[in-house]
Amino acid sequence: MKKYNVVGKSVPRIDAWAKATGAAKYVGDMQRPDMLHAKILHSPLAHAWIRRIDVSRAAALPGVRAVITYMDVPQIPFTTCGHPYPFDTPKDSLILSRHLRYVGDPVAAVAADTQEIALDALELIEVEYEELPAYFTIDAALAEGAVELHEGLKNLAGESEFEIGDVEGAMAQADFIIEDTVETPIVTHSPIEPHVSLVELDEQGRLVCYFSTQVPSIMRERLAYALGMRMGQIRVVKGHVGGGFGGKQEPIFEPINAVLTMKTGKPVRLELTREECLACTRTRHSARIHMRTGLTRDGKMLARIMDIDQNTGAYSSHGHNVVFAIAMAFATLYPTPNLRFHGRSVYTNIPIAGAMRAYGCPQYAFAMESHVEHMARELGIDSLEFRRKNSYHLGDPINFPHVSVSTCGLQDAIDQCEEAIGYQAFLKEPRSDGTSKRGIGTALFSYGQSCYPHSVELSGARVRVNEDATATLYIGCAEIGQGTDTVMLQIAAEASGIPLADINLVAVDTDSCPFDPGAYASRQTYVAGHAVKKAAAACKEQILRYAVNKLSVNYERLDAADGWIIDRDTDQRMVSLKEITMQMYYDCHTPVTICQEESFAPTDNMLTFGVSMAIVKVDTATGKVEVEKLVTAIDSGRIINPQLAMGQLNGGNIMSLGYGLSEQLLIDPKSGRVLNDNLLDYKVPTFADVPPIEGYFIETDEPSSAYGNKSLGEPPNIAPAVAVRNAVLDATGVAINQGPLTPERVYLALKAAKEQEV
Amino acid sequence: MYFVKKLYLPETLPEALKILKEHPETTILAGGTDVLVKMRHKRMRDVTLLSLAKLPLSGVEDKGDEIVIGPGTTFTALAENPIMQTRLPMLCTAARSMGGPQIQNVATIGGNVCNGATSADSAPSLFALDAVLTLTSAGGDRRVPIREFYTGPGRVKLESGEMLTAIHIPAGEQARWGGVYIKFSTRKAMDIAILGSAAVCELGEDGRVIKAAIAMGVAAPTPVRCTDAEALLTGKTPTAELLQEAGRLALTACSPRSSWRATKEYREALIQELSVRAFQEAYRLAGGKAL
Repeated sequence: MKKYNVVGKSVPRIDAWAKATGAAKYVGDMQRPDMLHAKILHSPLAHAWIRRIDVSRAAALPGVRAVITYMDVPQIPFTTCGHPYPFDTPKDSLILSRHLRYVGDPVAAVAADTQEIALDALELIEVEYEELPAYFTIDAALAEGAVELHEGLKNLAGESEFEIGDVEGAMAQADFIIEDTVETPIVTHSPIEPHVSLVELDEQGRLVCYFSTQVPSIMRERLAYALGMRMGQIRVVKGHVGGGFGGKQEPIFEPINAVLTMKTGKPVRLELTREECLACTRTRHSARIHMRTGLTRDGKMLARIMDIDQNTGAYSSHGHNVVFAIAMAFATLYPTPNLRFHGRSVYTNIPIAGAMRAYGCPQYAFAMESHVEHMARELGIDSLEFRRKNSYHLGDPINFPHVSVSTCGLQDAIDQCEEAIGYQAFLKEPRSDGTSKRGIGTALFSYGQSCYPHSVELSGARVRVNEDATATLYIGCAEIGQGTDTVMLQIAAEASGIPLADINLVAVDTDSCPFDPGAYASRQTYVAGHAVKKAAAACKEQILRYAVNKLSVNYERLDAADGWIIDRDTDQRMVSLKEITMQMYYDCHTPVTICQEESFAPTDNMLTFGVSMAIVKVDTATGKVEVEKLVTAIDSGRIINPQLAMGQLNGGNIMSLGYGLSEQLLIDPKSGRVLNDNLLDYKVPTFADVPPIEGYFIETDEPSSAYGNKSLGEPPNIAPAVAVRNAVLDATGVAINQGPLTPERVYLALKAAKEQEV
Repeated sequence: MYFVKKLYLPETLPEALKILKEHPETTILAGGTDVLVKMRHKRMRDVTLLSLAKLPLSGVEDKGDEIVIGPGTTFTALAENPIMQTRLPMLCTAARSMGGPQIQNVATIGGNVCNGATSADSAPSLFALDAVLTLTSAGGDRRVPIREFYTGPGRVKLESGEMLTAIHIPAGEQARWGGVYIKFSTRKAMDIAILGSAAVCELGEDGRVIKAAIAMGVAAPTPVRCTDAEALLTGKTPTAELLQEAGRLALTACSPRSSWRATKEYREALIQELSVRAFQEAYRLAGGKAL
């Protein structure tokens, strides 16, 4: 593979120092002298109509500057789904509505001089509710005669299906038919930084919005739409963001804050509490997934059927788009000539499910890799061999439009994991020691590079080179902690020949940065990285073409690296970039600025692949599962920054372990209220719970990307949960088809299995 | 977010007791890890607080026949105390199992006890160790065994004007003695016990059990001692069968309930298993053989 100067190196994060010392200011750190604090009154009922609301007592409380209800906001239906235009889920949301559809739906909002006054004011708002029938499960919401949450939609936020080949015919030919139903839990993002916004008016009366967001450009577009404003009247600024994981890929309550700012004319900060973040922002869909696969005697998949119902909660948000993403994974990882897929997204009166890291694929993989394990065991084929036989190999056909594969390190990744975890040796080790039983499990995954072709994926980037050959990179893509700012600078430095330390970054300000939909779909390095490379390369070309005359050499001989113009023939430095750029700006005859903007939009979607393997120890008397070791190998193409990449791998793996073992948002079956809206009862793993994790990158060189790279942010969050589930099956012989594998669930499953034996 | 009406910061015990007597509505603030959470949730508001921050209530003293723990001792101080580490390591385990380092740095053992929670990480060990509490008011001191102190969920026998001023732990012969605390929770830190199990075992020269104490947290509305199981074990040389029977008998003292955190069925299984595991380990530490 070609060698690069900056790409492929573990350059330190550009924000590392600021974040480690506390110099980095987040939205919650920002202060304005006359800033107000906002608080939201949330619905105490899962489904209700506001019969009467009286805010007069709250408004009269000293220190209260504004109280707003549905009567004070534009009633323009929109969807919060933070995808590129056009809207791709039902326009079922309002900034504030008279119709409340889950416990937590905003009823009213207050802006006051202090948080305490705002909280007191909430208690003075008098509301008379008319309670409506509420449904918390898919079955209840789809039952005959169920009231519609959203008029005319029959409680379906989306439904889709496709069939390839002749599924029934193939099933009839099959030697084995394996069937499974798997249920996955509701989980939530839990970024360190809560959802927070500060909105103020500039001297022209434009809205200036400081958002903790993954999608600055889309926030502006969605805000303008919901408020009935022109986009030019709104400026969105994104600074440091303390994590998003998909939960900040759409407006949540930011439009409320914008209204409060316009009402009061003052800066208003709205910072959600942890309880609000857990119960009233967004979640990962829970799903019930039914699978049926027909196989030949020697273990080849002939036909697969998947039927998925997901609970999308009170509003569609990303809704059914998640099912589209699942469909892509379903069709690609295990090439099968005959496929049938059917999915529904069901409205219920529970918190809203939206985008969450790996967008449907953790749910899908938990089901599919459980199913695959079932097949291997039923046919008596080794789990790894079975997966090797059926999973994607380069050249296999792809049964999905606009997906193609030109690099695939999956089989190498399986080999790597097998060796690193000591699979063959483990199979020979003793497994049982009294009540303690050990097992090993595997799971594979595939993942795309963007939302294409579902969405248009356009990223812009601009590089401005200064007189002295320092530069500024303007991008619209969003650093939210994953490290993209650093990676984009590496790409800009590589492509321009300007040292990384000489390039500043402006990101993101919708007034000055090029359009980019933002951080989701693990798209940024793939899509925006291309735009950055093109803009930086265009600057380099502009400089080199100017230098041709000065140096009297052919353009083809010139290159730039590390601040110098290089002679390609001799690899010798010829002249510093700054000597040339200064002349360009102050040329007596043809002075010229050096500033290039480029964009990129993919016309195809590639696949990233990987595998996780886990060894677990199950305490069969208590049901406690201890992960002894987790190994993950991923083909994310070429790695731009190995240290940051390993951070993503570790972080994603840890998040997936939480999904597999401990995290689940619990809904009270009577009231629809979230029972565990705090981090004591919503069990995100602590560092003490993290097992040894070994990560490997199988570096392929993806020709369609800027530097051979493929997606990386979300993929590590897919396989570990189900690898652990399969390891528990291996240890105990009990297949648990519902996550997470909490001690109690495992204990009860083992007990039930024992009772069945007797 | 915190609605405080008034804060007292007394520097002497008599001063504190006088304030408590004159303002019986006062809430005592120790580490604040329970009180501040309640205030933030508005379960307490417009409160008058009496902070123990300046009172000399922390520290551990070895008085030979008993160890006296100041109720203002933080869990970190407790876990790092050399007397505790050599004489009562089970309480160090309990201290380190509670919350995370930040919580352990401010939360106190006295606050943990007076909060009255059945899930208090210090409680099962204090029950198994037969701790006695000194409760002090302007009128003087009284001593209450910890087993009588808890009266219900979140309720303790603290009279108006009274505060906890000392925790006494009888510490006899250390030879042939073992004590263990097992916290069972989903996570290894920052978690609440699904079940807490503490056991103390003392062996006679002939290897028989002369003292067996098994205490459980979250197995009933208050922490409890499993007296039937203890009676079965006392005077005997444990065998695997005897321990199984003790586990079953441990249930007689318990009345676990189903909540969304765990079902009754599961808690009962844990009580049987963890009472045995704790006692088994205490027995081993006392010099008994591993079973």
